[in-house]
Amino acid sequence: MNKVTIEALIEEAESKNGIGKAWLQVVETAVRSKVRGKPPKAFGYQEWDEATIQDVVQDVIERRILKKGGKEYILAEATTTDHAYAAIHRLVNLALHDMREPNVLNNIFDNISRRFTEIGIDLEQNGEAGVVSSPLANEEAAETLVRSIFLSQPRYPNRGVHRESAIFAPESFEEIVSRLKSEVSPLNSSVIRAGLKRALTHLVRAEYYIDDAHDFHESAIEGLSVENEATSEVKQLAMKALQLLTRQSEKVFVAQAYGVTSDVELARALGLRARQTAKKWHDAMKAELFSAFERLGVQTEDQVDVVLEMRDQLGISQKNSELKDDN
Amino acid sequence: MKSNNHKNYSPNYTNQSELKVGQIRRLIDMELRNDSRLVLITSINRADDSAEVVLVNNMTEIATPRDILLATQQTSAPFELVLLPDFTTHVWKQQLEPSPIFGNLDINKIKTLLKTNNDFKFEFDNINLLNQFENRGHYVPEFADHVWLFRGKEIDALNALGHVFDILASNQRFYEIWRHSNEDTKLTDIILNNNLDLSLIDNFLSIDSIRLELV
Repeated sequence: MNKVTIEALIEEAESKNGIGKAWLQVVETAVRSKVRGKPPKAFGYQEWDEATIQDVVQDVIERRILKKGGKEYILAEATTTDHAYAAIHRLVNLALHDMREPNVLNNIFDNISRRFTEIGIDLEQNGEAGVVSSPLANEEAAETLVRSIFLSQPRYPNRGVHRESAIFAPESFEEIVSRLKSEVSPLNSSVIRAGLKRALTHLVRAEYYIDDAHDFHESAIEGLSVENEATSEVKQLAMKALQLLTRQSEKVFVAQAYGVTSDVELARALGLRARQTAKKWHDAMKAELFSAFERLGVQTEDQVDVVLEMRDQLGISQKNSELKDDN
Repeated sequence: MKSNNHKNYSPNYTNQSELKVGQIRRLIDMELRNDSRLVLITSINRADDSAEVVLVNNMTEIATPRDILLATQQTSAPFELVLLPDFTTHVWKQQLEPSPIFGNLDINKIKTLLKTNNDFKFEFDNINLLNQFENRGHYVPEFADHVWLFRGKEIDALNALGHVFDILASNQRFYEIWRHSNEDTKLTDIILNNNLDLSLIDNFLSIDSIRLELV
């Protein structure tokens, strides 16, 4: 199958139909690469087959290419075929997220709902329940307040490889429930779901913005050369090594990749109060990294390549960073 | 491999070569080594045919409190946009001229928006400010999260398209050429004879050095 060029995409966009074979081909390629490894049931299907893939392609085009000026934006910004492909892959990612149920928002709501049940409040049945210290006039204002309460809590960084990753620490959930109970009225599932969506839809979708070009590259590989196979193996090792790092160590890794060398700088970059804590985190990161290398069987001579690839995976370009020996 | 493409998809856009403040255009790399970006023109320097631009994109869902959401009604663009006032660069007008005009923003509106960004510290945990300005993004990036990394890449992308004057190198070249053609004249003599103050001389040197760099 020939690669569709940006000229072909423009030509179709200017045609009477506005979209045709070329757009379908690029979107379909993106969809096939992105649903790979995703559970079909999360998208309302029993399995991935030709018919369901075509359904998803149509849905993606409907949701993100034809609506919200998706097609127009791509063709406004892109001047090269690769750029247009990356933009299309990003929109496919976002559309897939729109379609997926349950999502992280559902999980957070379930967690909140469970905590309310434990203290005797059923959000589904609730109308004006809850101790109201400052009643709000309507649901719109209540939703805005709910959003503020969710946004006031610190979040775990979202690594993106784990779509269902945790967003809040348990103590944050406790604080959220406490404030919802005392400040929001009416306190019911509808208001909380709406406020949650206002606060965190942005967050949940964020993880899909960064991987577009990488995913596009991955799906475009058809027949690897020996050199590319080696690169691909390094990439696999890098991805696995990243998954073995804790979030704390990943932060240290990123900071180092951006040129943070001393523990004092590290403490400042990570918002830690004490240099000693930064040193502890730094040591832990090194220990985790070498443990990961050992577990994955990464030879000493390959470790630098894997570290560089890990940085690529995190979106840190070479020109912005310097490789440190102690990595 | 990049395919060079200068054909525009612009059935409904205005095609106008004259740059004006407030226009939203595509900023390209004349050598096509870097991906293009959409930008808002915030000032134009007719003396050296350059412009100051601010990055815009359509990523409303990851816009932060420092970013301004621009509805289609405000810009007349066929897509919603986000203005990122912290992401600015200096470019040549040739990098913008081939682009159609995708939208426009009122010059007074731009001034107000940029002033607000300078006047208020939109600290990421300041919920009161978030609620006060509804036309701003709500995503709160954290160190090393995906949006944090993404924004870093966007800064790189914009800087790669921009042109930064190397004032020191330019001045040195200016001095070399200037002294060569006026061997008997000293800069201090010009200042004394013409009763010029240092700020005027500084301005004079900067403009000429920029001109030389353009050559």
